[in-house]
Amino acid sequence: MPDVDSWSSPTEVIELLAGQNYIVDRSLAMSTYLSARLGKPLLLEGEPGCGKTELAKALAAATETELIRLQCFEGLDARSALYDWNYPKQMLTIRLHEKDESPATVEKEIYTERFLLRRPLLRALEEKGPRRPVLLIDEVDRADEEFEGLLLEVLSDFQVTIPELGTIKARRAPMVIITSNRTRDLSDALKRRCLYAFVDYPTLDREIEILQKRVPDLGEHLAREVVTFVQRIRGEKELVKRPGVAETLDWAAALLALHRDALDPEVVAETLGCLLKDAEDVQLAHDRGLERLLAS
Amino acid sequence: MAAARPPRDHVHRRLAEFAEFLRERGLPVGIGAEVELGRAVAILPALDRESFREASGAILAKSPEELLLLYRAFDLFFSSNMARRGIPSPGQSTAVRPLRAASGKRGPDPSPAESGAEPPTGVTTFGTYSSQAPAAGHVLAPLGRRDMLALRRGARRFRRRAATLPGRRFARARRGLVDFPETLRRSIARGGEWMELSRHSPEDRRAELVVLWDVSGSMREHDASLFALVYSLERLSRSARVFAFSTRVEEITDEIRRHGYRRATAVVAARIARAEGGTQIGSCLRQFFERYPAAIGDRVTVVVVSDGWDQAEATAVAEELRRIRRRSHLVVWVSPYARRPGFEPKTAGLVAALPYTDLLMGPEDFLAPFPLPPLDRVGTQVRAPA
Repeated sequence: MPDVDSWSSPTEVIELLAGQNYIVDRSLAMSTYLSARLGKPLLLEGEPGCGKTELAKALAAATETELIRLQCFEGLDARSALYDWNYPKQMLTIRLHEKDESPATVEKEIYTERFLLRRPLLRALEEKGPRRPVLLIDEVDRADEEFEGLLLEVLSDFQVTIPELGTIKARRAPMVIITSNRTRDLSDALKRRCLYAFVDYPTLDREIEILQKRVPDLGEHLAREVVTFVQRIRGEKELVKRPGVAETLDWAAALLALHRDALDPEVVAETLGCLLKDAEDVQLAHDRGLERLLAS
Repeated sequence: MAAARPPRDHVHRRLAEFAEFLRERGLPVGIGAEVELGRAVAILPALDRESFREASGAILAKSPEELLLLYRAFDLFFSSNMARRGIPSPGQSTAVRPLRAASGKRGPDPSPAESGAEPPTGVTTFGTYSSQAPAAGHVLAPLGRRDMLALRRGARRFRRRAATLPGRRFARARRGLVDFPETLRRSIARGGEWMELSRHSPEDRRAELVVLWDVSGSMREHDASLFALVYSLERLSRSARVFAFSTRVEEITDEIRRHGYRRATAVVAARIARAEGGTQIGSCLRQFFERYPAAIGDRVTVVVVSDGWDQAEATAVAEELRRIRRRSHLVVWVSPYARRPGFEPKTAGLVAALPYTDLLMGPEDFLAPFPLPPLDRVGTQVRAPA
């Protein structure tokens, strides 16, 4: 299995990811290739459910390396993302040595790597495996803007400064994938440190290809029907949440479980919840007429 | 078979020319990005047009809008008949009056329709709202990058002022979570003896915002700059909501949230094009209350962006704003004229609103490089007695 450093072209990325049932277009393959070869993080933006997170998983699987994931949320801070000290252990150590050691000696001892709790970012930098790990910083737009400041040192120099220990630098820079659903603008400083790719909804043929790869037991005819329906519903501008590829796959799997080989209004109505996740959207689909949406 | 590579000097010269060309078109390409592109070119298996286009997109663009701009510029630059003298200058791409110009010393620039000129690229014209509004329509065009960055910084300063929700940073507090590092540090200083637990709690850093934006005819000349402000405010937090009003209220949060700034200008322009009639601020505030009761809460800062021109009874404005003031954290009024020399609140709506307004601001306040004035200083000027 070739390491990412030895990738020779974007075509190789396309083939490797196809081996993981992840279909990627040439533009995204180019971004991934350059990200790996230039050692720069790759920022993926796009609607939810279009395969941004899946790309990181497929990359890790394709390169047989560890996927280290940091799921962002409001209030995420250095203690959850970078490192923390093991306070209970430190307290016990202070108690144990309070009689026979000077405070200065105890202090020196409790701020060593033995007491360090490594969070995802630090783990990615310290990874000692034979290949570069894949670090997934998922949904960075959910985190506070201040958190982006924390990422800057990590992403530009692949190092972290811990006041008590000094600077820890990655032996081999991890391959970093950052995803954002664009619920807010990211800072220019963060964007500047990344390569960029926008993951859009796939075309009809590309989505059929994805469906056939990921749900291979689905017949060609049903796959085309499903994707055609999804693309039509996606075209409705009034939708609260347009279905992504993830929803298409869920719906196809549900139809397969129901042993269906063709779509009809009845089965669509019964399974629409797999595709649309908002009551208003379901109502809208009914208002537009399922027969009309299904008509070829 | 891979295409033969041109000499490195030639490639570098073309790269520099291309980067310069992109800068002229409004894409901010720094030297660092240019160098990255040079490195990328060196590792491309074949230097064909398509590969270079994709590599440029990955390295130089940072949003879907920039990707579009880059691809268009790429096709223009590398077209077989590229004649740069024939390419329109980027200075023609927008016709937005900068916020800084709104000092009252010069009159509004004529809109393209007024001047009889063709609308410039990137400008979206939408319909007339008010019977009192000039027939030229409204111009909603993207502001320049520098102004947007300044606005964004100002909006962040504003967020700190309006913050009611805990952020990521902690501050020492009498009550709250145990601050283990601080407790540990103190205990070590006392020979490992636990004298007391240090505590800390999150500082309020995040704000909940509701923006009510007046898109009536009298606001026509400020539409572009105020939309930029409204956009910057919306992008401050995930929970911010934006409503446009003239004679009725429409929520436009999704139109802003789903798109980058340039695209959002076009989408929002299309969305609010259906608005009709003059301004009825009081009636709109009532509609807002009835249709979106959950939008207001005691942690929410309400920002009204309006000049205060009102066709209906001003008492309705006072009544509705009093209700909003009672149920919200802060009421801030942004008037496009507030920072003009000699400004006095004279419009009926604004006069009626002031007693229930905590802060009266002009859009220029968001561009100023210094912190916003303290709330109590401004507040005492305009706030009604409790």
